[in-house]
Amino acid sequence: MSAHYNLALQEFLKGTIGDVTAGGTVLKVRLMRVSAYTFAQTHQFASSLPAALVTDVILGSKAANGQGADPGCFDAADATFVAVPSGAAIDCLATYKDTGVAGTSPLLWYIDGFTVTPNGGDITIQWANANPFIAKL
Amino acid sequence: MATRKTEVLMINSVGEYVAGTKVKLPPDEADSFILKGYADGPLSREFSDEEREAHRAVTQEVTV
Repeated sequence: MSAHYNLALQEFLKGTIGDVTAGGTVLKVRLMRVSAYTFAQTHQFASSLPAALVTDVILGSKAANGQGADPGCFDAADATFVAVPSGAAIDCLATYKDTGVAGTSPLLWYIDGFTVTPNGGDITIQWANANPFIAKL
Repeated sequence: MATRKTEVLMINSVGEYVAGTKVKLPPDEADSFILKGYADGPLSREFSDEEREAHRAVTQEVTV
């Protein structure tokens, strides 16, 4: 059940969230477990997320048109989390715009439907290479 | 004495190293990133096939 956070869509409509593809805008991804996080449309900021399992990854090579031919699709380079501690399967993630303060960092997208059991090494999230890529508005 | 660093171009975003940017890393870390396919750049030395495989052995990938 991947989804947009509706409160983020509201901010996109109002234009208050800014250009999330801009170089100066920091978007981060947090790996999570569904056992520790239940998606809710009432969640607005990263402070609603559980503590990070490993350092959140900053997205780079961001684009608003997929790989050039899909306007409205957000894409970015794959995200690698280094030395993820061994443990139960990781099966969801959230993307947020980092303001430096969790309580003001808007949640953007939630993705689940995957599972990976960390072995203590790195985990790379490979974003889809076709519409909707990471997310489509 | 300053520690020599290797400049690499990030292909993936890795932690706080952002894809599409050039970063200077300690040679061991740069080698690891290059061998795992996270970055482009010069290796500090020749690596055997076994060494290359060892670097990749514990990495996991998942498509979402």
